[in-house]
Amino acid sequence: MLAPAFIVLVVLLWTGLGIAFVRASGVYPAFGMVTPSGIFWREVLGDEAFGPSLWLTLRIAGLSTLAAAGLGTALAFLAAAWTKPTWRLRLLLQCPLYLPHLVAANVVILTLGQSGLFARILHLVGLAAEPADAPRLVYDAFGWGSVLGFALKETPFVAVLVYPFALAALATYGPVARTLGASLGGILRRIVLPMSWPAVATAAVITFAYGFSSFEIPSVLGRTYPKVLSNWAYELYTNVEAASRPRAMVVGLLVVGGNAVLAGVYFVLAARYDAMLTAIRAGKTT
Amino acid sequence: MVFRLEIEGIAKAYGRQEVLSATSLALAPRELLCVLGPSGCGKSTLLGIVAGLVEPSAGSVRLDGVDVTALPSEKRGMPMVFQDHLLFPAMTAGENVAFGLVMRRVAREDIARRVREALAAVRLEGMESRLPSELSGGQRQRVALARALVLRPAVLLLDEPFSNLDAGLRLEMRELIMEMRDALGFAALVVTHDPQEALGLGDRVAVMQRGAVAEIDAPAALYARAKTQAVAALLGPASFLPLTRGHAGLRLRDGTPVASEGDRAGELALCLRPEILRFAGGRELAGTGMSLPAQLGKTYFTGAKIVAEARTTCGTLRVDLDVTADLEGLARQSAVGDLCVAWDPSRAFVVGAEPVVSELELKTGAP
Amino acid sequence: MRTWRAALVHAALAALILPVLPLLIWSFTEAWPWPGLLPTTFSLRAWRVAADADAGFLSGLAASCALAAVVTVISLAISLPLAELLGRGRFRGKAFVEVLAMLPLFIPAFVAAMGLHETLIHWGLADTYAGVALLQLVPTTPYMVRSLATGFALLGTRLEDQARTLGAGPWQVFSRITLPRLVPAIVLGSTFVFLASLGEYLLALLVGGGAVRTLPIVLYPFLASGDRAISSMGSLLLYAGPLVVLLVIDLKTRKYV
Repeated sequence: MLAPAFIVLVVLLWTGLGIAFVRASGVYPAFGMVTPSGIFWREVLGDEAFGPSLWLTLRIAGLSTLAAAGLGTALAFLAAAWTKPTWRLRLLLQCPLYLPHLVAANVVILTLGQSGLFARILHLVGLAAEPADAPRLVYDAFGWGSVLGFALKETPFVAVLVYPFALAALATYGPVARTLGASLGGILRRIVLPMSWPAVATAAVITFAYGFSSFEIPSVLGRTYPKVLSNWAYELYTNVEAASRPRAMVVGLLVVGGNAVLAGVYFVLAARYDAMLTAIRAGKTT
Repeated sequence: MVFRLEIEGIAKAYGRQEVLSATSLALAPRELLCVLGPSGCGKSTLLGIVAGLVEPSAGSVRLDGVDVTALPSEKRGMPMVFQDHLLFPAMTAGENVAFGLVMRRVAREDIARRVREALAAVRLEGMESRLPSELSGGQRQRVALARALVLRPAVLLLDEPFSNLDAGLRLEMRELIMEMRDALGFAALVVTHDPQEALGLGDRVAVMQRGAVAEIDAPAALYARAKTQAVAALLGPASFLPLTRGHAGLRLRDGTPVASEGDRAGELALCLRPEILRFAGGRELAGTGMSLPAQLGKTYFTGAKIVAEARTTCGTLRVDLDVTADLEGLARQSAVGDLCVAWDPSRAFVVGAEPVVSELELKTGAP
Repeated sequence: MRTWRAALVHAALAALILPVLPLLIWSFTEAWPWPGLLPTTFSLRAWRVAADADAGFLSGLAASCALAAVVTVISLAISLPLAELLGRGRFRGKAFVEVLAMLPLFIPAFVAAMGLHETLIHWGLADTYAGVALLQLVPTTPYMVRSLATGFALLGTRLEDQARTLGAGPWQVFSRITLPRLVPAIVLGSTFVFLASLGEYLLALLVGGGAVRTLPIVLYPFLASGDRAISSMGSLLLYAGPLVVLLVIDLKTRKYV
């Protein structure tokens, strides 16, 4: 009964990664390469594109995670404190959650591109006479477009993960804290926030991992150079030059390595997420 | 009389569902008032309204003569201790106790001193840096008590504060609260569903039923002279014999007259607590209070005593017997028709017998 | 007081979805010259393209939905036994199995797809929907396993035990007791998997090799080329249609929660 799941989750994934590792290490019979060597690893790590690409990837993942974690947590707290858990609230939380990456990228172009809605509003208030006067947020060197695209996509994700914590913590500990003299702000800061950290951290790790490895948003919104690692891996993979396929595997495996580290952090946090949520709901956090 | 806390005409309805109807109560300084009632009687809602956590539909709450009805909970200064200790899990015992002081922006050195004192008062010296998870159930509840008392409240609210503790700890907590009241002089409103707790802790006990205070009195008086069958049954085991109203006053069903103090309108019953009843041979009884010919019914051994049924023509009574009682002798007497059940008429009392069936009544009432 | 605060929160949440509005406007216009806040023309060209069979948008949507449905059903089927084990079981090495089951959430599947490419060609799965479905199962199934495992854990086994003592067999217990109560978890997991598969681009590109024409594959070139009317129309097809269907399902199944 467990075999199909095992094949999908373990055999497919790890065989694929194993083969990728073999190819990355210079064994690629289809291209006449049979001797293992570390040359492709050295080439990629020594490539002048590597540093900028890694830095761009980290920048996009990091900043979008910061924005999404901050905004999402704030939204979850306010939703828990000021509204009731109605279907309308669910609807509002879920609609942006289901935004496909390509659509999120398109939305960023239409709203934040230099001729997008944001630029037009800047023109309206006299801050941009021409599209070129508007800040360059899409196809920019810094990666702002991707940062904002991911932030748009991940903010509701963080909110959805944190919301049950905030709701449970407020319901369980809000009354006693209020009779002890705490205002809503005090309760959120001193009680709900410390209790929500497993949720915030879990959401942030997942968000960062997605920002680190995801393909579509930076592919649409980014420049041709530097590319984020996943885009670079794809570019190398589709290059006609024989030696660039093993390099593509190397870059891909570097992304895998980064995300494996994040996964480790996630597993430590996820165990706390479930236990803590159950405990808060029951009012028996000890 | 100056009251610490006055609850006047408080009502609460959720839509059309009225959970509390025009309820009034008042707490004297240093008074422990226990609100007792079955679940769903509105007692927790009442406490929530006093604490400012629930908005009343009508009525007012006054604290030391000042109307606080419109004041949010955090500005009322009436800390509440809940059934679950609800210690903030990420804070140490000391930080938990300090919480209310921090919220009040008390100076840091004062906080440290007061937290130490409060923990010492609940006999938890040196436990300041323990996390709630490192404390026992009783210790946690004592920290919760210290967390409330460190604020030196005029009125303390307690919501089923002991019901998650085992019997021994309950008694300990009850004593601790009374001791603290004597030391600190606060008044407390305690909500509970446990009659033992209410009778043992309260200076007065208010019994609530269906959203209203049915009766309120000192524990001993209430136990011995409840006005209605439901309240009498709620406070402890009792048997009820229906009464009829004749020319010469109240009579049992077989015509035996009873002292008619307590005669009033409506259906009435005579309330007999099991501990005032005893079995006796018919002949030795002449002139010693009230008695009825009885048959010995079922008997149950309960550990500390034997609970026996006495079947009379006026109804079945529950009688508590000593475990050394001679059950076989009683059975023999019963078989030859020489058994009576007797009581001191001054300890029996007349109650209104409107039919009320509640979960608790079934649990604690006559078998 | 409460109402305006609630309204504020709702407005803040709505602001996250509001940026989608330009998609709608763009899909109905041809020209939206700078610096106007609204377009100057009304045009149905994009939607005519959508209806044009040769353009591949409708068939792309159909292919995406069919692919996502297949991936969802297979994912559900293979996840149920594993999820029951993780949700209810107690055994040595459970944490390890959990890690193995959840890792594909983090490990980008496209790297495995690159590695497996020759194998897929060998098996005749390259450039086919079946191959894409197989690879899409890898990153999506953990969602399903997690949702179902949480569902199983919440159910406990008391009702099942009760049914067994009343004479229900294993299949009857599963179909009459377990499955109905698992509906919310199934809906949650299926929603995630369906949407992840629906919007997935890179695996469809790598494994499908151009032969697989899902909606994201059809849409992508228009995003790059800057034909905003078409790309907005395609984005709406990809987002709004499935969203409405899923929200209706969500509403209909809420009563089980």
